[in-house]
Amino acid sequence: MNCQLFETVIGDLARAAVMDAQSRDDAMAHSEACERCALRLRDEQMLTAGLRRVAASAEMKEAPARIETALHAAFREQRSHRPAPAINRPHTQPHTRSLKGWAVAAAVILILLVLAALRLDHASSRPVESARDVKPEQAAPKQTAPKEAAPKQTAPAVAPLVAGFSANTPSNIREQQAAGVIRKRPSQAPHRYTPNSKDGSGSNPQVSGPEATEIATEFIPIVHGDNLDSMESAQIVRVELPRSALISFGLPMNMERADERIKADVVLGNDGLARAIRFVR
Amino acid sequence: MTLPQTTSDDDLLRQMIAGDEDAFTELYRRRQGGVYRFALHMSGSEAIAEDVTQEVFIVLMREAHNYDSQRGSLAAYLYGISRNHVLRRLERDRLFVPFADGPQDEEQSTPATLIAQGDPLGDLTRNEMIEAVRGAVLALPAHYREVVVLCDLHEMSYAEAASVVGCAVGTVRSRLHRARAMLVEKLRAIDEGKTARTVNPARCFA
Repeated sequence: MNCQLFETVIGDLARAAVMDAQSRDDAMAHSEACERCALRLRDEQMLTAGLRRVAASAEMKEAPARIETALHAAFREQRSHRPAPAINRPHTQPHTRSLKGWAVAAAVILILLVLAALRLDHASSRPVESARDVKPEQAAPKQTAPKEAAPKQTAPAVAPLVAGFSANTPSNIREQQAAGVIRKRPSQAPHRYTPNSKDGSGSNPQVSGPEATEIATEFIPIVHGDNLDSMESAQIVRVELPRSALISFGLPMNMERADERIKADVVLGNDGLARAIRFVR
Repeated sequence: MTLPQTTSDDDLLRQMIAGDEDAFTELYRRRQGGVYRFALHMSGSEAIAEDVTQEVFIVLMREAHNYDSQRGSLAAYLYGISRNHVLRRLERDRLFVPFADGPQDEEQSTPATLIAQGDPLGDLTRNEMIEAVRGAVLALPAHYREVVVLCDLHEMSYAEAASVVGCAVGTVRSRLHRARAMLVEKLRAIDEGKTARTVNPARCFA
């Protein structure tokens, strides 16, 4: 063994740590032959003795009793506010809840796609129905099902999203967002955008507010399963798209007007990516 | 040093998560001393050690589900939390308060001073050997100090210390080697300073 190797084991040697017996013997033999390494070993041993004295001097030190008292109070308070969680409770396994949410979202999207396909199939054979907007007073009770796919949908969570809307957003959008931005399930009086509507029927709800002449669909998430309510802020941009875009989002389109353009409002997230869209007439 | 344990830390933790206050009490009393002394050795401040101890067990209460027994022992987990809180506190306060064993230590009433670039000899020469070593440890940079505290003062293995610090075993070994060399250098300098200094006759009669 040389001085360089001795330096690598001197700490274990001085601390009497577990080490290879042969290495220990070699190191001890070297220290007997090398005065410099012997002095190094002596210094390390003295340091070890000093450190052990420091440890021994603090061996009986512990936190004062008031710390335990305070912790007990905190434990009881926490236990009273939250039921004692079992290991398999949902909130201790957040990934389980998110999986369930994804499954529900996937089922909703599948149903929507099937219905969209059915609509396309009937689009050419029957008159297009009038577009209907959501009246605020009608929105809340009919939005219960989509909320299952987004269990965190709450009014406070949606409010910041509303705050980011552009100035020309019709005022009733806020109510729509508060009710949920995910499209309604078809079984609950679906909203269908019909570009050909010359409806004079009083049954079509109209957008209230400064832009009362506009009728729009609900916001359709662009990314499947995206939870728009979790967005802290967003921006709405008015765009024009070819009418063929309606098909991409599962909406019926009059093929005779395929060359025309349609207005749409696109929700942009903080990352600049489009998160949702609605079509406007 | 530790008393025989009939219930493992992991079992106590499971019972604590289920709301068993007695399990929490047992777990706290079993582990608080190590956590407290680690924070004390790292900071040199009893106040910081008390705060950190409380914070560690508050975190344990609230985030017990984050503990994974596959990644290490509960003791190492608690030391890891303590380490993070101590380092955060030291960074925030940039405070070093040497603590003393007895009332005769004049340092007890002195305000906190940063001991690193100043005159450690002036502080340490008035102390016994324990205080000299303790002061030298506290003067080490944090990443060297923690391995000395864990391996030498708390007698942890390299693997356990690596689990606490979150680095490789080899890193712990090399840091400990370097830290001890720094301590030896500092203590040798103190010893040489003591030898060269004239003995105070007053101390001879003390």
